[in-house]
Amino acid sequence: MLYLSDIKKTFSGQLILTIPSLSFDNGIFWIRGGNGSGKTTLLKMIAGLASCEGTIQLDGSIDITKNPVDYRKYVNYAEAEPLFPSFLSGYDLVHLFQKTKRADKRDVDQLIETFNIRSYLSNPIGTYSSGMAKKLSLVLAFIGQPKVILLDEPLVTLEDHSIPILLALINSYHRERKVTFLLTSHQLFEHEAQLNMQSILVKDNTACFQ
Amino acid sequence: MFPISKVLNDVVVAQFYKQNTGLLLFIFFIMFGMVEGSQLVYYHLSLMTGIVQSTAFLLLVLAVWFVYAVKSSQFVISQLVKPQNAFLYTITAVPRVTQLGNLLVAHLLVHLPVWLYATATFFVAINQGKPAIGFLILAYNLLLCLAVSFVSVWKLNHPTSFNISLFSRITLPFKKPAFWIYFGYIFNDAMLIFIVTKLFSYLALFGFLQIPLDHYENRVPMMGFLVGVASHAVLIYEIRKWEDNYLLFFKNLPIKMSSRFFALIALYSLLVTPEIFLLIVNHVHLLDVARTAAFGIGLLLFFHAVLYHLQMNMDRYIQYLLITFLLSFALILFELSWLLTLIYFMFSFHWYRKYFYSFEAMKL
Repeated sequence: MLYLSDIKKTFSGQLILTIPSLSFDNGIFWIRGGNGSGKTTLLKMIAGLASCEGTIQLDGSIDITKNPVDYRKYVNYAEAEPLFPSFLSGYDLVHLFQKTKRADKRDVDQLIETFNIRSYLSNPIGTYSSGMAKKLSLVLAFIGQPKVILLDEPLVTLEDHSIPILLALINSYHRERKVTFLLTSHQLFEHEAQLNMQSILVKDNTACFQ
Repeated sequence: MFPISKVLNDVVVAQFYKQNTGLLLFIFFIMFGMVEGSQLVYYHLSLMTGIVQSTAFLLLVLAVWFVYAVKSSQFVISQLVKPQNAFLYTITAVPRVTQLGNLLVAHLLVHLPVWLYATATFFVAINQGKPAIGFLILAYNLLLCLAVSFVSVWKLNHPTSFNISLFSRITLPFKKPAFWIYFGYIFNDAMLIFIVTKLFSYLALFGFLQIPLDHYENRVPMMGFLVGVASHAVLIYEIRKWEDNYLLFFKNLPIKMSSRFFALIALYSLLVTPEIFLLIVNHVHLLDVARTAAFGIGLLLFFHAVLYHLQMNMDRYIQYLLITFLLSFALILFELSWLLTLIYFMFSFHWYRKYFYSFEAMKL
């Protein structure tokens, strides 16, 4: 499904992560590790937002470097603390993602209803609270026909009653659409049973199954 | 010193010189360190004479001072709105005139390096019987300081003004293209730089177009276009910085590299549309307008892409700007602008393709 090999990530000459080989089959994976261990960097590398040495491949043939456009069709990402241009409206972004990820409008509308964000989507993002921006970023991460969805700290700033909605959506996308999820969270432990997750530990500049 | 001036001096002026020491030392080295000691006075007198006697040189120097004023005012405004400087909003309790006076003092101090050179040039102008040029230089710098002081006062009194965005309420009869986002940034967060850039660019181009010629000559408007387009360098630097901070999500979208590059071409084509219009109304031949526009757009793309290559290093960016400007000037003289246009487009696409996905901004 998703395959990483000979990964080496450095920044300003300092080694951040090195992963000889790591393979994710279809499933839900909880990326664990302490602060600064490299969880976010790992997700960003897989999302194509941070460069690294080595190979990242999807389904054995879609390479992040050789097929950057196809790869990005199938790998979606939501940041822990999303930063969007303040003058854009939520709709501006939703339409942009819908168009580029070639998403079905009904699916997008369904996501908007599920997270109950329609009432403020016309407003500039600069007027959003951090929780509202977070819900928008989660909606954007589910848009299209993703095979892998990467969610960095999906529960941070999310209101309590939205958490079960998100977990249910993750479950349904995984069961019905066979989407693989990679999640980082300090809070997910209590929800682990609900999602039937496998753990990946990021520690000592490397990542492996736990 | 009055309490407000003292606080602004510590929080704004001192911080400006502290954080820009490298850049200021670089400029000092370029201006004074590269000339033999015995020739230094003669060299600068020649430069100042050139400013006073040559309109083109004067426009170029005014452009450089303008860039300095914009950059320094951006720093001042960024200091005013920093969360740790929130206490500065207590200044809004005093009358606006007092606020303006205190911020003008801060801006005049930040502008000090320019003032020193401008004052010396003023005396050279008086000495050479060109008092109008001398007073123009002083008035221009005073106006720059006043303009940025007005903007600072407004920003101090409207710290969250970005939320009330007219841009986000604009509706178009067609779906907004992706590069529309860049204009959102320009009109919301970089309006001051945009206005002053356009004013200077128009002034420079207009000045060149007024040069009397006894026959049609395409190189003169092209040189004016070069000066105008080169003054967009600061705006492009700010656009690149903003991209790195707020358009990270763009990298995750499945958009072809060629489409991304065409979006940049569309952005910069629209950006120089006012200058192209000025060429047309001044009866520059349409084929020459097309050549000049292609050259200008290529240069802007080159500035954009070179910032990836230079890792956003401002000092090296300035070096590249100088070299690029001089090279362009020379090749326009030899009527080889088509070659430059080709080179700019090729290098821009090469660097853009090479660095777009791999570039990571250094978080300082």
